[in-house]
Amino acid sequence: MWQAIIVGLIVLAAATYAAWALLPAALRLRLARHLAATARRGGGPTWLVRFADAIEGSALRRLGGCSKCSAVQAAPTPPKGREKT
Amino acid sequence: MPPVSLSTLRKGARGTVADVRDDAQTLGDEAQSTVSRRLLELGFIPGEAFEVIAEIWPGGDPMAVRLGNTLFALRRREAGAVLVSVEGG
Amino acid sequence: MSGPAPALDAMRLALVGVPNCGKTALFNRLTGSRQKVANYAGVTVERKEGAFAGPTRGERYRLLDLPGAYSLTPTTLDEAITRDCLLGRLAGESAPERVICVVDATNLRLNLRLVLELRDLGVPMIVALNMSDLAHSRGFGLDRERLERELGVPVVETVAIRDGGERALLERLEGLPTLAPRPPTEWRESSFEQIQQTQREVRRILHAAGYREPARNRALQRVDGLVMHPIAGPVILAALLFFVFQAVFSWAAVPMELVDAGVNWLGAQLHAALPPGLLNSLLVDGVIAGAGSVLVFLPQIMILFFFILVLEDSGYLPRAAYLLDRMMGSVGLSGRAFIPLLSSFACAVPGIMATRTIPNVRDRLATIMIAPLMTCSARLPVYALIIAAFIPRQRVGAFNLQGLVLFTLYVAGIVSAMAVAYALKRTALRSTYHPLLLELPEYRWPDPRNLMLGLWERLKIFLQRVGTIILALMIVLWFLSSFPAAPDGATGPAIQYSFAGSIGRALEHVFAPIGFNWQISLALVPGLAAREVAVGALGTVYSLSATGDDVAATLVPMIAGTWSLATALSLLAWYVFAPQCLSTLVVVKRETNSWRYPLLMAGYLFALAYIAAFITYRVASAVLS
Repeated sequence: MWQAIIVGLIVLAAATYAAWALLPAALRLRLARHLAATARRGGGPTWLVRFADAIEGSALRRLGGCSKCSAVQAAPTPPKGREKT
Repeated sequence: MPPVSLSTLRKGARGTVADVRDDAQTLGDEAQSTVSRRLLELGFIPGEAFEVIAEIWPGGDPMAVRLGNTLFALRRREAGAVLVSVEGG
Repeated sequence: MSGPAPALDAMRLALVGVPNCGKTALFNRLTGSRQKVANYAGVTVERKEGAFAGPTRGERYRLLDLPGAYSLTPTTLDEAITRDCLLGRLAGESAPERVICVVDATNLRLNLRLVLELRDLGVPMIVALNMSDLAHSRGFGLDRERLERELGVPVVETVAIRDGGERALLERLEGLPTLAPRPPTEWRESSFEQIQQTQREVRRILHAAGYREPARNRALQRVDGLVMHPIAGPVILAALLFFVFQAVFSWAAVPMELVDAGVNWLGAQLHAALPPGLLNSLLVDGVIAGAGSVLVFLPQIMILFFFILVLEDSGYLPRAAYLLDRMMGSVGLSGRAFIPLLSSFACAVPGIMATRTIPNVRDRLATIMIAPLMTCSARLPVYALIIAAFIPRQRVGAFNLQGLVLFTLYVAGIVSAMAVAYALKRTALRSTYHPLLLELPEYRWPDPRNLMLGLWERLKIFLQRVGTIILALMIVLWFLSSFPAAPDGATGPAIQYSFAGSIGRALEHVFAPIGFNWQISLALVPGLAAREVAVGALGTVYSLSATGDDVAATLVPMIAGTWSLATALSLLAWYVFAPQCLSTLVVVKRETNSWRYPLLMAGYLFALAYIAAFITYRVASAVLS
């Protein structure tokens, strides 16, 4: 019984993380902002607010797909217009 | 000897740069203006010593040129903008 | 990143210099790990900012590392950003208060012109004579104080690669007054006359400062004589690349066995220690078999990166670009495209971003579209797995057969990239002429410290990737492969009855014509996130398929026993082309500012993959039966 619970939690955490990581960047950013705003509004416990902020920060940094090498982390300004040569 | 175009020289030729042409018509492309400008900025100015140190086989294009103390790889087409005085016969 | 947040009143500095002057090394030396990488508003050029403090009074500085530029008249996107930033034209950014102009002390003739161009614009600056250690040891003469007087701006010596090499710069910076923000500077393109005049001034100043340039080192001249020789050059290049692939296999053999043994041991321990059941299966079949299968390839990836870093640091790459220009020209690209394409051998993402140094838009686009065909390091686990299972470990003459096959796969990637470039440049991406005009910097011994740092970075990235996304996907896959459980009285492995089994069977219809069984078809799905995940997925799927107590059996013998050679070859062919990497598609979208290109890219690559796999499978089946 306890095994099933532990396994279930692990799988849930993994699935959530995978979904989060594979979400399109803009969507992820919106979701993170929404969550952070909700946490702050609800006057929730400080750890929750800090957690929400951390997620938002991570979403801001993870605007590239691979996001692991320093080359890809981006600022929140979305690119607009075409580059000229 | 009158100045010749760098693009006509083979490996081993050395001398000094005489001029850089900005003649878009002769070289057939308005992009050549950008190239000529960049050549000047990189140091292909009158009086600078050069030596052709390598070329690709077959065809000899691109070529590698030592200019002063710096090495550059360039194609014959852009080398065509550079006029040089060759030393020796 | 850790470190103090830049204070609002921190002085804003920027590093400027021509390419190859060691600017980035100086940036790293000054800011250490306190760097932040972002984007300039509106364009996709990387913006590197860091922070550091003065040595005695602890004054705060913010430092921007601007892209290398030969002049303020730009020929590439990179150079345009540098110019716009210095002139204060960038949206949302005011000009830096002061500029650190980095020059290569061993190449002042090339480097000083930009300094004068900036000085004449009135940009407040301090000149960093970088690589001054090299200059001294090679016999360059220069009167630094005289140079400072002639230029009219402070000049300090720096050695970016040495501890404390930035000290003089820091001390000098402290002594400089704070400046009021400048309005955007007026700037017009210099005329040819003006450029020549500036150049004459550069030579006059160098002469006045007693600049003495020794003749080039004889040994290095001889090296170039070989490396750039019309016949020997390409031979050396091919031999070098070939050697690298051999090394990737032979040097990695022992470390890989160690990692493999370790992973298996851990799996066996867990299997024995935990009571049989869900948790046991999750940890052994999901985590260990899944993530562990990918971990095994760490030694090979590290060796590959080692060589890439050495080549990048050594100054050899521009020479390779020169050697390959003809060949790349035959498909319509410039030799310049070689360097971003070489980076793609590590990972297409930085390779695609490096295409910003390609001036022509269509060239750049063509290079971006073919970059994924360059065999990236994530393909290595897949290739290595199949080679290990199907190619015998024997020698063919002086060569290792497995290394030979790997080399062939890499060549296939390159040849297909050339073919695609050719097609693109003939049709959609035709363009006018654009020059090569490439500087060939002097050779350098790669700095061991930089090398170690680079490898360590890579190691961390790899472990992070395995420990997060790969692990997460393996756990999810395990779940999908274990539920629903097999009905009573069922024969065969339980996995067939699970969600994953059903998905695999459904996909098998699509992939049967190219010889993929349902396990492979299933593994391709999580493999979309990242290529090496397919290896982990196969690990988990086959581990769960293991009946009885043979949990310790590794993936390689399983595959060797159940797949046909034709299937294995077909999968190899698939992987040469298939765009199994979301990250690459996302970066292409960012770099081209549209979804059109990544979708086109995914489309053509999947089509090519299917066709290639189909042909391979059919031909191989016919030949081998």
